[in-house]
Amino acid sequence: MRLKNLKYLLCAFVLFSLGCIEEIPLEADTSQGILVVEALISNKLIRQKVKLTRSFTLEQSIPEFEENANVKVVGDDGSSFIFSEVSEGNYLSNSPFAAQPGVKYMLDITTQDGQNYRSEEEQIIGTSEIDNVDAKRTQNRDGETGVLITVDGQSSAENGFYLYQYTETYKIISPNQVNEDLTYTKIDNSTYVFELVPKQKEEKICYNTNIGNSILVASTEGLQDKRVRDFELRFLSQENPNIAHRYSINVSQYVVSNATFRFYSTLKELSQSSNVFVQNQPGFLEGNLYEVGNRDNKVIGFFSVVSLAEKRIFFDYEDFFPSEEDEKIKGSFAGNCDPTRPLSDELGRLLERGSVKFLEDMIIPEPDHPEGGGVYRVVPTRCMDCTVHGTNIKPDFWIE
Amino acid sequence: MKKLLSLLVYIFFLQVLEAQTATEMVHVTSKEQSLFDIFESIESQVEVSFFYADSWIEGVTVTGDFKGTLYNVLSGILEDTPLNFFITQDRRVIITKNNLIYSSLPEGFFSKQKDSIQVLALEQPRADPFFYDSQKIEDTRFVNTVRIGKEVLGRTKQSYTVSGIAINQDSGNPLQDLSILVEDLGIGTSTDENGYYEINLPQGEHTVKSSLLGMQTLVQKVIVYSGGELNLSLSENYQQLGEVLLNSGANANVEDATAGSEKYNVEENKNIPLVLGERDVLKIAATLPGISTVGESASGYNVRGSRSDQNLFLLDGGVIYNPSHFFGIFSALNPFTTESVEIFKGHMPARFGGRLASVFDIESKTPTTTDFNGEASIGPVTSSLMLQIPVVKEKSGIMVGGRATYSDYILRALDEESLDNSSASFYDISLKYDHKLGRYGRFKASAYTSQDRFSINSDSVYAYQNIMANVSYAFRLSEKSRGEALLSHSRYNFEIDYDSQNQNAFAQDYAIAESALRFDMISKSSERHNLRYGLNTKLYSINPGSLDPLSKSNLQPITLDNKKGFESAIYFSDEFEINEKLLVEAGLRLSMFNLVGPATQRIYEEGLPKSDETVSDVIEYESGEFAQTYGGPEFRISSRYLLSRTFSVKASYNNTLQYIHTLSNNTAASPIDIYTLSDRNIEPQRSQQVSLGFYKNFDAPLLELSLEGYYKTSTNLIDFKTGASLFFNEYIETEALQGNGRSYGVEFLIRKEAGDFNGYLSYTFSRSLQQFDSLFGENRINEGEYFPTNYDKPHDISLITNYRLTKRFSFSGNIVYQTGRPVTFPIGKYIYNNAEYVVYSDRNQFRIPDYYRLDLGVNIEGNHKKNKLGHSFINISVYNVLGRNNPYAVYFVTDAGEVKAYQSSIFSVPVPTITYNFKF
Repeated sequence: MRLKNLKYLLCAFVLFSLGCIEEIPLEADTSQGILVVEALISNKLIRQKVKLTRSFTLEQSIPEFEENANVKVVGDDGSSFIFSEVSEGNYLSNSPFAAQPGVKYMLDITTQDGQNYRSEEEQIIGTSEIDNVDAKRTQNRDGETGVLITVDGQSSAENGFYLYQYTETYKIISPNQVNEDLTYTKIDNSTYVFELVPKQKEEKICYNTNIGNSILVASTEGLQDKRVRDFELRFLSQENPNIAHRYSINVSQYVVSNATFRFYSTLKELSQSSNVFVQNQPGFLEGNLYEVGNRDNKVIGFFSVVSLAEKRIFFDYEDFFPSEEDEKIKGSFAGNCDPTRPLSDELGRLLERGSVKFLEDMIIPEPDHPEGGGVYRVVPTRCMDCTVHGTNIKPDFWIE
Repeated sequence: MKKLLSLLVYIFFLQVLEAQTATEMVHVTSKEQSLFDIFESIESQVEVSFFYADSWIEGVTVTGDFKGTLYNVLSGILEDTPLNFFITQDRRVIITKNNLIYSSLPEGFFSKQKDSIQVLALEQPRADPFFYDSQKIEDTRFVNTVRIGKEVLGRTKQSYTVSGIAINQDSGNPLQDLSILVEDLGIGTSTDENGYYEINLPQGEHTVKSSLLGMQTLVQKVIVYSGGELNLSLSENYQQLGEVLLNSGANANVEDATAGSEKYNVEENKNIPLVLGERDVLKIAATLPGISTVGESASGYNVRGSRSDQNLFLLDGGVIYNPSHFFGIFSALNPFTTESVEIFKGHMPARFGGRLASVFDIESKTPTTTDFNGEASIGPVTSSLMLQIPVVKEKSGIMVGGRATYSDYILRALDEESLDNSSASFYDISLKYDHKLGRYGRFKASAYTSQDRFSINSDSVYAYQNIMANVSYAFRLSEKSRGEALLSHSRYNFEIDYDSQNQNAFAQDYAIAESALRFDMISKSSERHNLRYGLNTKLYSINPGSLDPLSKSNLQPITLDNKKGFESAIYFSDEFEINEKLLVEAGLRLSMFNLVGPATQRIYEEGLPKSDETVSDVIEYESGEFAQTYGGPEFRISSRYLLSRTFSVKASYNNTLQYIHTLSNNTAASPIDIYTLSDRNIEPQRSQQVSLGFYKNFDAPLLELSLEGYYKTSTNLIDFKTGASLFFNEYIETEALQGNGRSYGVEFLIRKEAGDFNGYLSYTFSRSLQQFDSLFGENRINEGEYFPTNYDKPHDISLITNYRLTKRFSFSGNIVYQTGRPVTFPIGKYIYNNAEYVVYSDRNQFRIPDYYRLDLGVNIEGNHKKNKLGHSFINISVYNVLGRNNPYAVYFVTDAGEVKAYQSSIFSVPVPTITYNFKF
């Protein structure tokens, strides 16, 4: 038997080749919306946030927001903080406040249908300190080259339980840059008159911000020196356009209670596959919220009171990939930017749709040119206008 | 019939002349000479002519030195062949196949002739004609009439005890479970593990039929004058290898008192196509009614709706914790070293205990004491070898068997990137030594180990291993009682090496060991009572886990204290034959468990959920101190009532206790499940079961039918809160839920044992439910209502068939259908931390699609010439011919913030295999 044939057999035997796992469509089913509460109150003096949504059916992709609820956080020192809805389902405290160590807080929510939900009392467990956020060039398990961002941290808590979140911001530079835009006047369906005008907005340099959505938990339980070291936050492949120019990441380290840690760890565990053979028993994930007078009613979420530390770092692509070879590999959001010279009626339609941007005025058209017989060279908008991928407003924190 | 009658009458008148020819002296020396040559040689010595059909004697050779009268010489030459002979007055020797030509008529044929017939019976083999179907006759051997005792004039005692030892003529080993049937009386017995039997026979002449599957049936004429000894010697029957036979003893299934038990011989099931051609000792069990698994790669078996940790696996009396390789795809018992498996799923005899649901009593082969022999097989996944080596001729022998996989080699040879980090290897070794001491004493030693090591595309290497070793001594105290002492040690451990490059690299291990001592006695105190009693104790020692940081790691080493406990029991049972029809096996087992210090036990505030916050007191126990004691009586009662000789009804009541528990928050058993002992906060699991069954055998075409129903309840089953962490958790009670189980079902089995077309059909309708209720919402599952277990498969059908085309070719096929198992599905989604997650339904509210599978196989046996060096056997099979993509699990993953559903299946394509077996 040739080894190739064995491969077929082996899928059956070894079973972990990907062929044995297939994606299947999610089955439709109805489920009445369960209240979902996201509430992480920190010791940082800000307008604290509580987000209220409802669970939704499997076919939907957007949650229903829980609007017009009365939300407050009550401390056992007599303090009370009222929250107001600032946008659909998002509630901010009316004034900034910071959770105080030693004070037990409780979340109290009354939804617009009159149901009252409360949390267990929670408090800050220990301090939060980030020792270092580091970015280094490395290879991941699949042999891909890229940048790994790690964090070192510590807490005064005896057994530290950590939850990490990050926000990344990166610079986008348009591969094609000119100072003029082409405007058009439509005469009839196929006749346009074109004019070059100076650009009205910044289109060369933009910035975009993403909030990380993976659950990142760490614990120093069982560690010798009770410090988080080299905790892997994010790996960015060399070809990832996010790091093509300048990149910044802001790391939030929350020191949380054991219960919060377990809630997030279990949520993570239930949402990933361990291996083909062993499956964790899934079930409803119990949080620390309940409906007053009806504890059987399900509520999703966990109200946590945490201490927060933040740290931001910046780096450039060239810091890790200085060679000319590297320059060729680096990613771009723009993709294919080959210029074309559409004839005037086509150009008019493309400009109308906003899908191309002016690159060069050829003045004398060349009818047989492979780019086309038009007089203007244009490129796809994504290659000229970076606001397609982000905002042209430079963030306050940005340092070059 | 008329023809036959006239023939018999004719023969009757020939008898007087016959003796003359038969007394002439003949001498034949043969070394593997054919019968042709031998007959020719005899014809040259005395004036006789042989008559036979060429095809009957073709290929038959005989070795030996035969000297004596023609009759005796021919008897000797033909003894091991299916041939008989008859010498006529005109000096013709008629060779017959199977059928004897009777020189006398059956007893009572001519009532007046009785005296003379009896005289003749002493000289010549004579038996009442047996008219079997041809298949049966082939396997039957008639031997000379045996007289037992001396006829004493005037003695009037009605019945006498006849006893003896049955041995395998080829190996010299005692034959266990040989059924001895006195055909004319319709009574019978069977031999014990030492081959010993006893039976009461009235004075007079009887036909005694001794049969055991795999052996040539022996039919003897026995004339009892007074009590005495009758030893039996049976030869192996190679012709029967190709059959799927699951039960030994003619009507054992109808006649014994044990409700809800199954027994099968491993060798006989070799035709059943299984995954990758691996003959599997235990997977066959799952085709029998009432036994199922969660899926193809689940390591445990669920017996009558019970959890997989509630089965006791005994190999030669020693416990094996996890008899599975590669998660559960293969059984870890070498089929070539295993003789038989007996499963008690209903009535559990009082001598067994410690687990709630069942006992898998696995016997390995008894080593031969006469000839060196062995068996080997080569398959696509494993190769195995078994050798039997006599040590002291006819006294002691050793058997050693090993099996190993070369999957690692194949994995490395493959140019497949995704498998680069993967490895899988396993092996198992079995060893058995058997030594006869004196006439009845027997010393046995048995050892076993299995080892698995695998890594699936990750930094983690998993390894697990079973070890079992025991010694036993069987002895006889008197004619009526005998016993056995067994000293056994078992161990199971696993290890996880997580060799990542960061600070969390570790090696973690877990081990459970038990040392057991037991005495068992059997005493046939009177004809109607068969007593069994004994005592046993075992010491558990659990290393709940230790963690060693690997180099560069910043982890702290962890070592948890060992947990120790004694589990002891005394038992007594009586198999009491109240009358001919009613047989009752009543047993009582008193079991006790002591958790032994050093131990730390927490006391929690009453009326509050157990958690770190509700601890009211902590008690420390010193070394050797009993920290907690549990115990109780276990009643084991089963009875049989014969409605007719082949039709019986059986009822049983059993209750059981279990002090050891596996902790798992997975959907199916896995090799890295940990075991813990009962303590102050984890109560023993308890169960009781009632069953009622009907058993009917039909003689002609040997059909066996059974219908059995059961109802079972359990308490203190252990489950866990969602996402419970079990490793290195010293206070498991804070995560555990204890609840109730309820299962019931009806099992139907129809089985055809013999014939060219044989096999069985089993159908089970069953439900298995559990309930976890509590005053506290967090300790409830599904609002405290009963819900189906992960292995609740209401309909379960298996059809196992084998069709023998010729002696050498046979076809086999399996059809399996099962209701899809319950699963917990998402019923909605929600956004948390900017990513989608799913809301799960109530536990096990949905089911995966139904499971079905067809397997086909062809078996080609080498020819069966008796003196050939070895017998070969080739099995070509295709598992899952239809390529049915049976889902094993469905799971939901949040990937880049979005929920995706995946389905995994184990064998989703047809899996063809060839294996080659060789026996020498």
